[in-house]
Amino acid sequence: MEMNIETSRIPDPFPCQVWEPADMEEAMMIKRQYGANAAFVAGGTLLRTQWEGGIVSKHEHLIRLDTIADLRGIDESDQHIHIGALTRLRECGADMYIANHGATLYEACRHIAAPSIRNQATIGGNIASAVGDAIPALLVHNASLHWADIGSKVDLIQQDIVDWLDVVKSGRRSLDAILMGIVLEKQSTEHQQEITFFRKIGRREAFTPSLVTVAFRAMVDPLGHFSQVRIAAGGGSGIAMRLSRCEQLLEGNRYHAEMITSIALLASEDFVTYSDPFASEQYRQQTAGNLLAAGLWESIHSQIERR
Amino acid sequence: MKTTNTTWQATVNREHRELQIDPSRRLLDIIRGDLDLTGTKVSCEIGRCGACMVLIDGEPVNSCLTMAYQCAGKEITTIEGLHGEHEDQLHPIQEAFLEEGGFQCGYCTPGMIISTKALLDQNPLPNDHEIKEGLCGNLCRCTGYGGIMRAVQSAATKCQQQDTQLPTQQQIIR
Ligand SMILES: Cc1cc2nc3c(=O)[nH]c(=O)nc-3n(C[C@H](O)[C@H](O)[C@H](O)COP(=O)(O)OP(=O)(O)OC[C@H]3O[C@@H](n4cnc5c(N)ncnc54)[C@H](O)[C@@H]3O)c2cc1C
Ligand code: FES
Ligand code: FES
Repeated sequence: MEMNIETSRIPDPFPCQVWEPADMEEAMMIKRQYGANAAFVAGGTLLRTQWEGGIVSKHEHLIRLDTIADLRGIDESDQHIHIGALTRLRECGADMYIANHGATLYEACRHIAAPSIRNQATIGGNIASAVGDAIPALLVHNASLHWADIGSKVDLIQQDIVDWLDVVKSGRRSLDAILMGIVLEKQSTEHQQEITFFRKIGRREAFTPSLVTVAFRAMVDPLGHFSQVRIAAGGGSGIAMRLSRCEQLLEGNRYHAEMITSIALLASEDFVTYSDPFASEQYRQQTAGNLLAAGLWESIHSQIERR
Repeated sequence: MKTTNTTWQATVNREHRELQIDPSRRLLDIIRGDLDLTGTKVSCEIGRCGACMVLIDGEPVNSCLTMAYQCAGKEITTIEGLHGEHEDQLHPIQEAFLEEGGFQCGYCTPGMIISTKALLDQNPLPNDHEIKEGLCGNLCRCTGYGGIMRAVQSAATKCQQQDTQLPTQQQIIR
């Protein structure tokens, strides 16, 4: 059969070499060799935006992660849910294991970007960016991250997401490491009810990158006492964090209406964020407080109505 | 260690195409620059407007964010690949956009129609919320979204009627 192979008429202004590593070790070796001139690519949605926006110049070497086996898919065991780093956001936002055992993550994945981007973007890319909207949700589910890193040999590391964010903040993050997967703990909800919510505010109503996000998860016993309270805030290009004083306000206590104003105030005091031309630090802090208070009020009231 | 081949091949609008290109070339540039399929539009180039939307294996994807290697070997449908029962006829979604005033300048329209096709293939009778969600990655700067919403609702009805009128595979075999 005669083949008609045409050559591109317009040469790419920034051609680059695209590597197809067969395994983790090969991928990390290539990264080591080319350093800052190389980038791991998952869905490529964030990288492309960074190149086009001039935030990062286009890398000369792209290292595909989709050629490495076993980095995609969602599995359940007795105590855990395992999500491969290359799993697309679309799949995470449609998965029943995640909906049942990682409800805020499920919600977060359904609110990141638009459906067409979620068809390509991965959960691993979202986390590895260190500013993805999935991160506050993972903080309230006590998620841990599985990494492969390379020193004299390949090390497999399991790290709580809180600890990893501390490493990121301190600037000690390994740039050669590959995120392999995310592990969520299943939690027993016997004799108690789980309350979860995820709220996101952007610059307009339709899909848009976030300014502020808030994630909440707690158990409530039949007498209305909160336990295992986890609250996190993030959004924009800030590093997400747990809001410990807000958690302490609820932990072991019964819901009462004054909690709503107190928690809004505490959240706005404790949320460490930043100003940019679109929103001031104060606006973001106040918004985090309001999102948290409104989400808590709505969740409690819908629970009361269901009784 | 292996690098990705510079020979790219895919099925574009049911036609097999092969090109010698950089594997990181944007699908948007392949479609418009190499294949002359300029119905797919280019605007923001960072995934925010949806003007460059195409279907890859039936799923909507922003071609400005997709690299050649990510769509190699796949089935790509651009606006030129949509038509009615015969190639010279409009697709029911295109008809609906015309009839309901779903566009003014028309720049966003190919992307809107591609997203509508993906939405209706997945969910033939979407409610208003589902339509807004399905099209939230497509921006229109001049029509206003009222006409677009009406066009999608009407397209859903037209596609359903067409489906019920078409003979099923079993009827054809008989
Ligand atoms: C229009 C638009 C809207 C967006 N809206 C949102 C939003 O609302 N919320 C949000 O959180 N994000 C948003 N994003 C950002 C982005 O799409 C997501 O964060 C996405 O999940 C990134 O995944 P990816 O697979 O495309 O990552 P890539 O672009 O492939 O990679 C992102 C970064 O992570 C690194 N990386 C990727 N995978 C790994 C891995 N497994 N191990 C180590 N490093 C890795 C890459 O080297 C790169 O530095 C948006 C992007 C666009 C274009
Ligand atoms: S040009 Fe691709 S989304 Fe705007
Ligand atoms: S019709 Fe002009 S931008 Fe939508």
